[in-house]
Amino acid sequence: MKLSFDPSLRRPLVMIAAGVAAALALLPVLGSGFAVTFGFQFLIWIVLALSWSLFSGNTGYASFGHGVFFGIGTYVAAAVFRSTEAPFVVALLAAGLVAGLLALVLGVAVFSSPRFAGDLFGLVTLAMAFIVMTIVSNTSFLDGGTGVFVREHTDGTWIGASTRHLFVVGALLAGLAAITAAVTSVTRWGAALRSIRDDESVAESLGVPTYRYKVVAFAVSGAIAGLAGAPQAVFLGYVEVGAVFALHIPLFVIMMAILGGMSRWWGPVVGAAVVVALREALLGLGSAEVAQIIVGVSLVVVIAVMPHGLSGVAVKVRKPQLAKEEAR
Amino acid sequence: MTVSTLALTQTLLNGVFVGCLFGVIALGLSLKWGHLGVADFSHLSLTLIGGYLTYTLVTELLWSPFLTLAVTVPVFFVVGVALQWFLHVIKAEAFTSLLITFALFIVAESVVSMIWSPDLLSLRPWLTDDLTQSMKVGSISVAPIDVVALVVAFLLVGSAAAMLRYTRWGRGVQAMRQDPGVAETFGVRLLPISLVVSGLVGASAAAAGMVVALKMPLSPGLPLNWIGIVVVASLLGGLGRPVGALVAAVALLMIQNAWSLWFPPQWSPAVTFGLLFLFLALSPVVQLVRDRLSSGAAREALV
Amino acid sequence: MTGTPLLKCAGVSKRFGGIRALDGVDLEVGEGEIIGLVGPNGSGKTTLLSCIAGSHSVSSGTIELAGHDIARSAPHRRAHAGIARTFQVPRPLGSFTVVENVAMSMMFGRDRVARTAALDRADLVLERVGLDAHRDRAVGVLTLHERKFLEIARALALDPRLILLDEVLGGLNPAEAAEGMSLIASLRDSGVAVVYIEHNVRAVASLADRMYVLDRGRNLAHGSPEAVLADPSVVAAYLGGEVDA
Repeated sequence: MKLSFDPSLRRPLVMIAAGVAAALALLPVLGSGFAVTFGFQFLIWIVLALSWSLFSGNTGYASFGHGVFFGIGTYVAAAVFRSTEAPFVVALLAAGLVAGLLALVLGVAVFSSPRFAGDLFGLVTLAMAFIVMTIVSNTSFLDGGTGVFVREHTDGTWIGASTRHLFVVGALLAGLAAITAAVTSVTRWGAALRSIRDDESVAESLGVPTYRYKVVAFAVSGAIAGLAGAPQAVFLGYVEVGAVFALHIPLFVIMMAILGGMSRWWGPVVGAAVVVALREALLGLGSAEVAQIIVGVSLVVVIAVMPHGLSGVAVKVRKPQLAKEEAR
Repeated sequence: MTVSTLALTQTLLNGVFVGCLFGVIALGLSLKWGHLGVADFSHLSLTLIGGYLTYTLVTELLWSPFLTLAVTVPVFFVVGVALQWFLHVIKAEAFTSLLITFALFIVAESVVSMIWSPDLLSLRPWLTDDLTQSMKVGSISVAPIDVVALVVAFLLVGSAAAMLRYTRWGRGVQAMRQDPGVAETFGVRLLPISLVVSGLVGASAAAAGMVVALKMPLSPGLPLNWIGIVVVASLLGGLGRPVGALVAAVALLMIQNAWSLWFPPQWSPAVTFGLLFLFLALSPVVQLVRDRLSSGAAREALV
Repeated sequence: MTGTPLLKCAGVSKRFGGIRALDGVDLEVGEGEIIGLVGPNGSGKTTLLSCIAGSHSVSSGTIELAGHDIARSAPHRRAHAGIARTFQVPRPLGSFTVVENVAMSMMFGRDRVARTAALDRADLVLERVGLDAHRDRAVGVLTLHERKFLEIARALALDPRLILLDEVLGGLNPAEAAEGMSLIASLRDSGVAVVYIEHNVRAVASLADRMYVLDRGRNLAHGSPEAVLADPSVVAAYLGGEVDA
């Protein structure tokens, strides 16, 4: 893949750099309490939504297993903290690496057969979630069914010292995910992925090696989600299977990407902001269940009335003609 | 470790009974997935809600569990029709439908836990002895509830298979699956048929829900444990094939139960999915062999 | 025809379950030759094209491009080797504009041109097929005629040695069809070989150097257009109905 610099990339990259810088500059203002915690979680959701969209949004292969890569990242980081004295960077890289490898292996297997498209791909990724859950909860090295206390191992390290440090890591990861998304939107590699979504056999007939692109994109998407798992492990302090692999995580991620729309690379960011804000407001009402119900129902409504998501609506307002042609 | 023949027989038999229950749930999923193209997760939630409704009607109004069907079956028929109609109106594709039913699945879990509390609810104390007292057949024991599960499974699967095979409507459904366009030109009306299929599947969830309530304590997260077996049974049995779904579910449960005799039972979910992956990995080979033998009616899309 | 043919299919069979779509079909295409492929509905023409392009695997038989066996290669490798195809029902990539659709072939085809350069070169192809005015439109708004020509443009943009055309004139009005025929004729001058399926046998006969006739998945006849059309078995296969030549 040739990565010659595309002038249309300049604006997104400047925007992303400014966004990350603004987040970091905001840090002293946020203090160290609720605002930083909230900001960190928001950043992690952005990473997850962007990384999901990188593969699923572009190729149209909707994965229901994105929470697994995030969860594996969390557990790998926890295992590194527990069994070694290695610094956080090692845990971070290990989390990304293992999650990426898992996605790579799964991708190599799943994409080798054209049967696994559409809903069957969704189910296979969901099945993987259950398998990984079973394995993790039965492997004493990772969990063994008791959960892992991460906090006692990270106390006294740089990363465990303050939520603000987690926020910094989250901002950098969000920046990384955003750069990947923006680059994908204008490069040859992104065009290949989108041609797979449009019509895979046509893409092949035009010379696109679809198998290779799917495998690599899935692995990159999984790796980025895995990276996000490392700070999450520190943030949680105590990791256990039920919470880490909860099914509402992939649902929320899909919701963010769909709500934000996948026709623009920044769509998932908008979606993440809306869902996180919505959820926070609803949690204020006092019940996690009500929050879950409303988020789920709004996903159904969004799919029914806004198939192109918020970014699609924004495009419609700005460039009515283009949007009309896009909507066909 | 040695396992006595008796223990093995009892375990396998229990597998058959639980398999019948899962077979009924898989029947619904398989029919909608195979014939309507909707892999409907919310069918599992509907089954659970059926169980809870049975619980409420039995404990609050002191109805007989079987009488509850008079209420739940028509109500769930309407729910099934409504869901399919909604998917039709928004012109949902396979993936969109999957996403919507997945969202409903998550929503249902919260709704159930709000209405009926997140705690375990057991119908057992409310049941008369003739439903709970085990019968002895030789040295094998059989619970009456299991007989109910068996009867419900045979009735529903049998009538679904018969309807698909022998009625005009059923043949319409089959035609729709093979080629919607062609089916439509031959006068098969797709929308009414798909609404009715979805309605009947909804109604089957009511019956399955009753069996669930009789057989196990209810909790909002129960369907999560079912997904694996139900999905794998639908796939292994062949999508849209009622008998296949039941046979596959029974076989899966027998294997799972036998597994837990010799190996740690907490690994048994992995067995189900292991079998699924084995099946999916092997099916291209099977396809190839079938191609070479030039028999059966495989579809081009699967090659 | 001497030496190694550009494309050589020998004994190609394709079974879908119990149905034999192709049963031991032979086909040879020389460099720069235009081959007409005709046959009644269901005779396996499109299936043969798909087997050559790689979107179907063959059940048995060999397919050689310039002497190299490609029967087991992935479709994109065959595209890189110089085989381009069109689809009977046009399948433009929906989220790309007209020019981007054409540029895809160049970015991922034999030369792997960079994106911006590919867009420039795609303009030349669009001009050649007369779609330059529609350059930046979404493909969803194109007419059937424009979609069919976009199929041809995408195939040309691969810079192929062999183009497989599947009913590119079907459904077009006479003026559009004439435009299409002169476009196909111009391929001969650029040295590209063509395998050409068309329902309209007369149109095929007027363009083709040689013709192959398939019937129920088997070779029925091949040779010069005149000889093939005079062949009684060919006339019988069409039941005298569709050959009005």
